[in-house]
Amino acid sequence: MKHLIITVLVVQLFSLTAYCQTSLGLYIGHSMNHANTDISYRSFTKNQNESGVGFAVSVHHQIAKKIVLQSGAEFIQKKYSLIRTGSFTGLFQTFNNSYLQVPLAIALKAARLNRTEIYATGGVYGAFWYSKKIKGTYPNLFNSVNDSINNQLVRTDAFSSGVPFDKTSDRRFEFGWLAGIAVDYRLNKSLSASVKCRYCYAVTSQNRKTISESDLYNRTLFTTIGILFYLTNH
Amino acid sequence: MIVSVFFIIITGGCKKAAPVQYFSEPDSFDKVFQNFWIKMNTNYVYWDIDATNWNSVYTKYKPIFSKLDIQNSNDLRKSVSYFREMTGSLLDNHYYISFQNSYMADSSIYPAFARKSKMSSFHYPFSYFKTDTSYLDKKYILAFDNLNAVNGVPLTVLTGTIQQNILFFSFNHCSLFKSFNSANGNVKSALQFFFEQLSAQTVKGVIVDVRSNQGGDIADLNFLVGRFIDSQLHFGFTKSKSGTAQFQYTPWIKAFVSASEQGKKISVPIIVLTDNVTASTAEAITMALHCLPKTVTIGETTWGATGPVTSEELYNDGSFSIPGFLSVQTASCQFKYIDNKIYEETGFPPDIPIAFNYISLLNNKDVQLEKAISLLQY
Repeated sequence: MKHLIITVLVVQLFSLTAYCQTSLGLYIGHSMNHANTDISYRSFTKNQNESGVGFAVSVHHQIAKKIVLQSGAEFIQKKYSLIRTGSFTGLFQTFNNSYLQVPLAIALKAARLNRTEIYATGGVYGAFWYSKKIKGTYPNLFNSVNDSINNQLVRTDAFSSGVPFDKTSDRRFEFGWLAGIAVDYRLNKSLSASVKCRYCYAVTSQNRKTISESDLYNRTLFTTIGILFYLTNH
Repeated sequence: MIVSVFFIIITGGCKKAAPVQYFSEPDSFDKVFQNFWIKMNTNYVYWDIDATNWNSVYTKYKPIFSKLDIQNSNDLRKSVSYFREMTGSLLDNHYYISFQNSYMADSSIYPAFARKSKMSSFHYPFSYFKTDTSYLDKKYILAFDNLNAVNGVPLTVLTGTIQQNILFFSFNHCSLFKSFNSANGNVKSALQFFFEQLSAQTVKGVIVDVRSNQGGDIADLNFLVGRFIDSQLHFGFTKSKSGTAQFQYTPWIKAFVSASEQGKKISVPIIVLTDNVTASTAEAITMALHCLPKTVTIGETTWGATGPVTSEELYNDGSFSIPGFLSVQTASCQFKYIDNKIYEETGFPPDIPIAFNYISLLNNKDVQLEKAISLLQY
């Protein structure tokens, strides 16, 4: 095992010197998030995926002929909604959670067609949950009336508000896997148009674990479009 | 290589504790306990301000319940004392457990009552009607609705004038709206009299007496207070549980009273009489009226059950049951008053504290009402 690690290190260091091409990418994109959690105990409730936005600054460093190391910084919204159904239709809560995310990925060049290069990407990411907002409609129980046959009718109010983080409940660092594809189209010697589609699979729960706490894992499809600037070209 | 190291860090840090399970048909004390613990964990709305450490409760009582036999009548009765210990310090003053199992059906758990009944100022609900009619002018209305009764006590409404220029209104529980919209008794005519006099504003002041009123239908808040205002009244905030975590809440959301179509801005002084068993919707009525500029409260600090209660389905929190075993009544939302204070457990204090005086009342002397009259007359 020790020899294997040393061998990998030597090969990678050699690769770094042989194929040293660095590019900087600027991306904007769309996120589609699913909160993977158990809501079976919540009656008349549906867990709905939500779309958000994101942008990224990405650094690509070619370390071998067909291997590019990718990293950078990303702002990404990971949203989801709990939608009430049945006689509670109209009530909902949308959770808008924003993360600063740092991916670390290896992109393997899978194909090249003239100016187009296609990559398969795999790696890991770490993210910091820096903003938490909830919007929705809320039954305002104090503002109730009864109809003519004494059914309670509760008026609803729309709300949208930031929510403070709770140390006992919220796990603000998220880690996970990512996998995806990227397509780069070479515009000229120093510029490429780039499209990335990545699936981010959290392995850490957004909820801190108490004895029974239901886990909540983000599953996010992050699709971006941007420009790659080649900084060095050997 | 870097990716591999990162992977080892991630996977190495993800060992999980075995989660507590929820059982659809609990057939042992171990399962009943787990269901109760989980439902409390998810449904109880005061975890963020309650001193009870619910995780410690699990650690302590899980092995105790595991040893109990659900078929054994002694163990069934013994379990009541364990449930009492587990919930004894909960601050929700609505919190109440009733048992469905026949061996335990005569037992109940009411932590707020257990605490308050030990206080020197504690007294049981008192019927002030007999005493207070002696202060009212002759044409007062004492109305009853036997079909809207709580624990066998019918809805009772007393209204009239005092010294021809003070409007008085008293009721013993909150089912005014229901009674108003039914043909039961003569409560409707009493309410019509009160609303007409209130709207005319020909009096020097209004006394609303909610002493020993332990609440009831929350619709009475809009129904009654809505007559004192001509536009929406913001009197506090509510928040409920949200998402899936123990400490996950909605933001604080404004709580309103809506003006009735016949509502008028009341410009004369209002005095609300409270005692230490004024609870729930009656407390909400007190606090909402206290937001009006000329309102003064007199009497004792209220019970302190300020969070509204409704069925579990509306918020996916609050009251719940473990079918065939027990039912829990607990608040569906936290309530924070307009002054940003939470009066759950502590109760809403009066502006002018005057203690309950049982001996005086038996001698037809109501010192709290007399204080209200003197304030309005001078």
